[in-house]
Amino acid sequence: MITINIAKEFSTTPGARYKADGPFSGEEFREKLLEKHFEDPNSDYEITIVLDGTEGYATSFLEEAFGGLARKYGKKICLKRLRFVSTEESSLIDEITGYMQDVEN
Amino acid sequence: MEPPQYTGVAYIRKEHKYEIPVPEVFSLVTNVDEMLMFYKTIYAYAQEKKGIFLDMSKIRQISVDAILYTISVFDHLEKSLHFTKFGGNFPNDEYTHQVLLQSSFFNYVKANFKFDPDDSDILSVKSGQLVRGKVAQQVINFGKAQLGRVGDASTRSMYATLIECMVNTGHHAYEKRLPNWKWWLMALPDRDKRKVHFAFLDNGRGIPVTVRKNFRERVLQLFGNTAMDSRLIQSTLEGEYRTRIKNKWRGKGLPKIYSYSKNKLIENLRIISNHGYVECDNDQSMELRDKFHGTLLYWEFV
Repeated sequence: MITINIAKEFSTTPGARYKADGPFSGEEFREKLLEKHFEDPNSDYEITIVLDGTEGYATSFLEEAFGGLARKYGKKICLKRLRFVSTEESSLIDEITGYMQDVEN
Repeated sequence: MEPPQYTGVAYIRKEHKYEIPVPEVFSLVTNVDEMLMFYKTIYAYAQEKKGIFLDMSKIRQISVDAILYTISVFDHLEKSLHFTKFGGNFPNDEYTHQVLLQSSFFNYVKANFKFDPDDSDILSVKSGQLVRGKVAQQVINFGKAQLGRVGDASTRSMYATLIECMVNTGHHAYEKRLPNWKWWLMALPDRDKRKVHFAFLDNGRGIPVTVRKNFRERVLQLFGNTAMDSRLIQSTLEGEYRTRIKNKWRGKGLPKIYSYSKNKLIENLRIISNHGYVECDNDQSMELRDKFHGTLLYWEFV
């Protein structure tokens, strides 16, 4: 199992959806910190994402990071392997799960 | 263009300029009709290429939204009409005078003097094109400090709101970027520091133009019917599928901001875009007689 703390390993000020939108986008986060764990289809270790410690999250960041991951690698494997921790804004967990479940694949 | 029926305009023949009185209530959120008539008047006289002198002496009430929109109008006139012959005076009211000075308003409109804001109780206008999380963080920290809520995590929704606004400016779910897109942002506490007023303005084509419309709406708009602008804004806020891009996962930003308003995480949210004006707290809306160029979001942090 590994843990990714967004505030510590990426940014306390996450941006929007695409890299073209500005720094610390959901796309950038997915490419830099998430995708490497999904490249090997045989990997099945759990990944815990710590959401606390940032200023907050735009929907576009979350959707592109996690919905985008599900579009690329399949929602089943993403839902199975990702765990989320948020004490500051617990509703984010359902929101992110919803984005992954909405993916059609 | 025929100048609109705005009272008090005087032509100073020897100086080749029009003197236009600025509304006493210099606020779009509380005085939208008069304010839009005022801006329309500026546009009309700017076409004549004579000077324009703004008489601000009688302003007795000022709000952040009007400061931002005036800056954007000046910016547009300079870039589209190459019109820069503006002048003006200061408000007699000391508080209003200070707000304008400390907001950096005069620097943005390229007044013939420079002023470095030095009042920590007034956040000067921020401007940009891309999403800038650090700016959003700075604005929120200002709001928290003003209300004595440092360390308060309840502002997370406000951070998200600011980021959604910034991204909607140039590359939002409804259409591609405009070449000269820009956003402006400002925060200002009440005199008694019970709430902080926020305004975010972009100079895009406006929500009613850029959202997906059904056949009937397209036909109505084609014939210049703008009586549905507030309804288009409202339905976008309510999450009706209006993104023009075929990806259904886009276009969640405005509905999310609306949900923050409904859950009282941000207060008194108002949206003005083109001919539409929506008060989100009570879902009241109206159609504006004169056009507002771009999209303004105004809210309060209590």
